[in-house]
Amino acid sequence: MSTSARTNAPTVPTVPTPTPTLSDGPSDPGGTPTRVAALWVPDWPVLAAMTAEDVPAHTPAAVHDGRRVVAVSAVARAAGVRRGMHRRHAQECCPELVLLTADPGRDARGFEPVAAAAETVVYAVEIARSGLLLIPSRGAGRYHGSEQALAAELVGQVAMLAGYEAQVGIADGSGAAVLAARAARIVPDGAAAAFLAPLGIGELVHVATQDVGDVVGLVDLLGRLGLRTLGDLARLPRSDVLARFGRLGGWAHQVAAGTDDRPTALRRLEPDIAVEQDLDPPVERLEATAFVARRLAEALHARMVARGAACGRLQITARTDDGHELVRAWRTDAALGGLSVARMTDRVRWQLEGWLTGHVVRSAGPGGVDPEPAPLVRLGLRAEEVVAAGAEQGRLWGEASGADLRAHRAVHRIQGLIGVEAVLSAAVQGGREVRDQVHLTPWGEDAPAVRLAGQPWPGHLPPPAPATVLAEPQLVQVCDIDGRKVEVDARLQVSGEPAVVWWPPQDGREREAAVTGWAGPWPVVQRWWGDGGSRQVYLQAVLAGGQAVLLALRDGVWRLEALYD
Amino acid sequence: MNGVTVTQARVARARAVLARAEERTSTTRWVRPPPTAPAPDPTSAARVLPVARTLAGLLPSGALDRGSTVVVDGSTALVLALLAEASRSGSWVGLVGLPRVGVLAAHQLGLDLDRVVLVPAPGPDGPTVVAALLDGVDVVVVGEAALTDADRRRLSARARERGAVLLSTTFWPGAHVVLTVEASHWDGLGRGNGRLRDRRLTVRGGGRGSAAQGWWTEVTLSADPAAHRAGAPAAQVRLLRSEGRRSG
Repeated sequence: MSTSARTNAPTVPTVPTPTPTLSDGPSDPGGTPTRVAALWVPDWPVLAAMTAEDVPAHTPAAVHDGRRVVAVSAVARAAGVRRGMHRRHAQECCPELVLLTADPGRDARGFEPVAAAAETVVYAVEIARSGLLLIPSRGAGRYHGSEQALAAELVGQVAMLAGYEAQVGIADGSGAAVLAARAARIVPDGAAAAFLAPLGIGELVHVATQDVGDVVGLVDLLGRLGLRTLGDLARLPRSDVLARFGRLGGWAHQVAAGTDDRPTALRRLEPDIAVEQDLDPPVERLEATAFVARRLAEALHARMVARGAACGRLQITARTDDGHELVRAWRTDAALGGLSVARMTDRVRWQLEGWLTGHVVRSAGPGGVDPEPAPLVRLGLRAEEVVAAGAEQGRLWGEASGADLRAHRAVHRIQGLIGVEAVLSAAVQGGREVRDQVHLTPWGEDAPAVRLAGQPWPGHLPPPAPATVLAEPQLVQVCDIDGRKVEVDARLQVSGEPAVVWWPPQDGREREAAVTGWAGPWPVVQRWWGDGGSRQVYLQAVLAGGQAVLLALRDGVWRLEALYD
Repeated sequence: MNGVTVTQARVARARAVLARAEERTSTTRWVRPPPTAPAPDPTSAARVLPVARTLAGLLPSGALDRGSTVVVDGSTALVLALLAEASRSGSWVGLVGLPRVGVLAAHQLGLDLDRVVLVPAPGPDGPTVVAALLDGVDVVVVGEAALTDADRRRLSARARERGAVLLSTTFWPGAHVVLTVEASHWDGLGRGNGRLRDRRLTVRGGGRGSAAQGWWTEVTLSADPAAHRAGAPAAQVRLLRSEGRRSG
């Protein structure tokens, strides 16, 4: 990071290299931490939610997590709504209050424009959390003339480009800077301790970016021990605080004393790199396109090497002469050496192989199916998610990662051959029925499981799970010794002992098997309160010949669900 | 220390000479050579994929040889149990043409689902898909796929070349090892009570090369995840009998 800062020094404002220190080791009490500017957008969760839901700015709004209000807009605060109120209570205070649900993902997405706006002023920023940016300010302040000028520039650009009002505070160390931003102050060099001393101990919660719950507990404990202000905490010997409260206490003491010298973890965005070429005359043969693809890959690779960059995705674009645009992006493993020319060419070739020969039978996005094979008139390669090479590295013991790389390549190749949806990855999720507990997604797609696997899920079938699960349950008949169908009543009494499983005639042959052992019936009644409700009873049975099956009775019909084979 | 080894080497040499002399003169019928542990082959770990210790008796070499073709006929659970150890130690597994495989069972038997690739319906591109997977993953399990005998032979050759294991659930010409489940018995189920617990499989082994000599084994699979965590043997193998080439 610091290396890249130095190499770019002539064109961008320089950034002082933060002093690397051990975050939990005792710090040198004499050294002052780096100057840090903090840019804070007040009430960020509400602002993000209001932008996403198109709530006008003059309407009072609040964000709740289902039980309590977690963030309040300025208008609502003027009406008396406070953080921590119950929803009912908040609506009582302010009947026209718009209540919005909390969504950390939306907060993070919405904050991206703010970070981008700040990046037009300074060279790199750290997003400490949604609503809070940290910027090393010594160099940036020098570049812009003074720290006041930097602060004014930041606030102005964020207001103009992103449309949010922000506050900037500058102080020694990130902890003091965050609190200075809440007060919209620029604390002079070396005066951080004096600025922090009168602040209440509860302010520590605003500084915390992770383990917020633990910090709340610590603040509560410190308050009960009689430490009301940050100054009280800072006056205690650091070693004693560390011994009594551990690492978190050590951090709190550092913040309170204004010696919080955690280096800022900067991010730097690289623009995408693209190369493309017109094909005249149009190319129809695979070999010819592969030749062009190799030239393009070489050009792209040369440009990426010149920039010292690696990419996370490679997008291949081809235009056919009947005007269709074919686009597909391939994920690359930057950690495993990025893309060499040969591998880029391979990917383009696999891709075009599918397109030109019309092997691909899959829906091409929302538009419909892939167009008919046609000659190509334009081919483009684009490296996306560009990062500085060396920012991501392979593992120290490289063998396993090599195997992973090979496997990923093979999977991508198959996806190019038979379609993205035909190759699946599996995960186990929560649920009661055998099929519900498996979460299948197209390979490479990031779709989180719907239900948590760690929960108890009472009523799920006991292990072992059946090794063969029929895609479509088979209709069967379960009869007792007299040949009558076995019924299960509301009290889970079976009308007779299951003796025979009978399959309806298939290809003119009917089949039946005697039941030598059985267990159940086990009821599973799910989601009766909404759509997709189901009620059924399960029966495990061992048939003559040693085969074990799972039978289900649903709507009065017996079905063979799975085989324990 | 050195003196001790020299003495031991002398004693061993003297014993060997004595044994040869006794054998030649028929003083004793046959003298068993002193037991020496076979030297561990440093490259052997790279040439095999481990199987659970308790299932090692099912296979002639005690593990899945890289480059070999194995047929397991009659039990999906046995297929998954054979792959569990390899998957856990970092190998990738591809399941082609097995639309009905119980993923939950795979998880409970110990497969790491992060390294499992499913291609339930390869369609007419079956041979290409299996070949592409053999390039990348360590074990490819092939179920119902549109393959001709010529395709199968080519894929076997590809597996040998790539050092992958090809495992089929149906007939495969020229397979190195063929495991056929002949009988299965479930424990734990009564008449209206209990639940399925342990399973006893009688497996007939065969194949070609050193495996041509058939053998019968009995395997107990207990798919209780708790048993796996406790490190208890999940499966037990008992050799029933080994039949010579003459009798078979």
